[in-house]
Amino acid sequence: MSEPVDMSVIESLKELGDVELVHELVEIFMEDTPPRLEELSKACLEGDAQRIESLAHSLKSSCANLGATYLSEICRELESQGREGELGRAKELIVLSKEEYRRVSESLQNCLE
Amino acid sequence: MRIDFEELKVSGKLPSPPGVGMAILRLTQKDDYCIAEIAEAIQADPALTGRVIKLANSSKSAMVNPIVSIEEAVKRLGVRTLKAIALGFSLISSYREGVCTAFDFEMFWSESLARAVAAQAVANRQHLADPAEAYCCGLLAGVGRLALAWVYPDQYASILVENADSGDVAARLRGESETFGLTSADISESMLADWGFPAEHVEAIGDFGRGEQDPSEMTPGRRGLVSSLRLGQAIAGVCIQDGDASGAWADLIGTAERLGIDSESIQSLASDVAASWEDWGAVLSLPTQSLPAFPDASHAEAEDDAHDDGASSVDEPVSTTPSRKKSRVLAVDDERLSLKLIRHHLEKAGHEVLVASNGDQALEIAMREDPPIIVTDWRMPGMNGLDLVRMLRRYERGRATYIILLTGSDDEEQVVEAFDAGIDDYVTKPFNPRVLLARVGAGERVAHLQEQVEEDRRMQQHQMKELAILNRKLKKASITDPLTGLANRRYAMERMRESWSGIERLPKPMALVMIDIDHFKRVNDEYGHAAGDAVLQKVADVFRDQVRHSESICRIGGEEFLVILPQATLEEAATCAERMRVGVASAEIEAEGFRGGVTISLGVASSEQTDQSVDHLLNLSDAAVYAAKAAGRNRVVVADAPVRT
Repeated sequence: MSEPVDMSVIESLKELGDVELVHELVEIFMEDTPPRLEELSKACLEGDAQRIESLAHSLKSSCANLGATYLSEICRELESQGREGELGRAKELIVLSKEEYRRVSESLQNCLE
Repeated sequence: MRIDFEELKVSGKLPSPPGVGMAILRLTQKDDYCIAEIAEAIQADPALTGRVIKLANSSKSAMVNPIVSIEEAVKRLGVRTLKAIALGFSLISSYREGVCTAFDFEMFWSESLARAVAAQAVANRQHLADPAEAYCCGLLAGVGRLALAWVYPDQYASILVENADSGDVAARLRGESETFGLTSADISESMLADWGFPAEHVEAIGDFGRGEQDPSEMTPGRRGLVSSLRLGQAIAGVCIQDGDASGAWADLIGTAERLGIDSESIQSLASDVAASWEDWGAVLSLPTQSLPAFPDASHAEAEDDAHDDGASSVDEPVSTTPSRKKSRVLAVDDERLSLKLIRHHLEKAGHEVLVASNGDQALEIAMREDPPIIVTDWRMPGMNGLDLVRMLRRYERGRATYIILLTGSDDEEQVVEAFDAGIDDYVTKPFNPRVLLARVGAGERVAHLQEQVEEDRRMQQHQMKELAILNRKLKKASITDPLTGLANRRYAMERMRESWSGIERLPKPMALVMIDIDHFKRVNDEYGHAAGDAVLQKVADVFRDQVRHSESICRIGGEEFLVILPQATLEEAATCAERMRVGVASAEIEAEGFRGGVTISLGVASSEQTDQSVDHLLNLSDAAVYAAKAAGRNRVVVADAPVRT
């Protein structure tokens, strides 16, 4: 499996902005992502495809901004399942995304230290 | 290399005003041009028209009586100023960029504009020179530098680069002189002289450019201009400063004190200038910025130092490049991390950023704040990006906005859908900040052009209104006798026929009173035509007092008048005629050597006496005047025709 966070994205953020920007972005990410993942689980239980699509879409773009490529891929998959109303793999993908989030957050925390 | 101005001139390489500027230059080089011709030439360019009117209105008297037409502007500014301004503004439009790498053409104009506005304000406040003339001189004072950068881009660039750090004007002038054998100040002088600027202005601009230190030898007019330009330049130096402005402020305070202006007054003047500079910058599409803050008390020492150093340079600093004022951008994204990132990059690039986290909020902000550029995400809960674009495009405000869509994919179908909705451009996510900024930059250019188009459109509308007013005035002029202000013969004939054709429908007949001044030829012969004209004017005044509807009194010949009474019986007309006779006979006239009175003979006729034609009616009244003359003048005679009952 690839690295959870593409460090070149973080590096270019540091270059373009500053370390503080990266801190703030990571903070926002850590704050926003867990409740979104919980929401996703809930929406999955309720079979609310539209909600899944919209949550996965938002999560996808914030992941991409921070270089969390694989997590972003999972979200893309979830988003398209939601869009098509085919929730066959949704539960599995959400479990996967929660695991991946743990790796991503560890990795992000490491790169801040 | 030695350059010779005459050679340079014939080479045709020198910057020269295009279009309207050139037309005005040519016009004013003839001896017999008139103001109307100049007004006409300016009106050929709506943008120029607007700018000239704006300048005319920037003086104090204009607050009470704002100028709206170019003719008035010409009158207020004078031909001299107008010519200079047309020249300056048309140069700005055409020489905005060039190949000389070290010379920022836009910044050059921005600084020239600041100097112009500042010199105007200084001249106005200190009564040093005519404010509008100071403005023109300020605008064109650096034109020699423009010429060098334009004609000798490489050589001039190396001079600028060598002197870039010092900002020392004297060093730059030495460099110019070593390379070219003359300085930019000399070239400014020659160019302005060649354009037919008054000698005083040419000399003042030369003195200013060379930094001549002792203006006491000069004529007062020249000294006033030089001082206005010096202080104007010092204010401009503060205006354009993008880094630490304390040095520029110190220069300014020093220069101002030499002119007897205290620190507090100059600060307030500078802040007025900066506001007006920003204003003008928008009109001329030149970059400006707000005034750098005045250094606080801890810098007071630096000020005093500069003050003691009397020779400190107040001329154009070379190495100042404030960034162009960036457009405001509205960024819309429901994802707060993305929004933060977009905002960060835009702000870092100098944009003022408004943010909205959903479509509804974005629409509200866009309507209220009218940002020229919007960057919006597509997928958002509620009103999404494309819905927002469609809404915006429905309103006049939103139609001109440049909209960039952030999209997750560049799938063909989706891209087409987005353009159909009305976006101008798109950037795929996750976005590359440099690409996003480049796209925003492109949008900025388009938005800018759009603004100019809008401005031109407004000017055109304004001109249409002006034209309608002018037409009305012309119409009035075509039916008015210029000497007496009464209606003229053309109007009389029209009005008479009109009344005649209506008499059938009206309860009362129409009547004519034909009037001739007695022995008028004698007045002319004995006292001259000026006295004759004065008599005609006085008689006309008496008529106006005696006849209720003065618009029906017409001067139809040299000393012949006709009163048309569309609703009067013969008797009423005769009464009116008698009133006029008495009025004139009792009037004392004293003008142009003539002293005394005149009398008039009047003939009255009415449509009760004829049904043939209006011409017959006119003949009857004419014949009655003859009868009055024959009977001894100074009397009213009613036409010799039976009244039909």
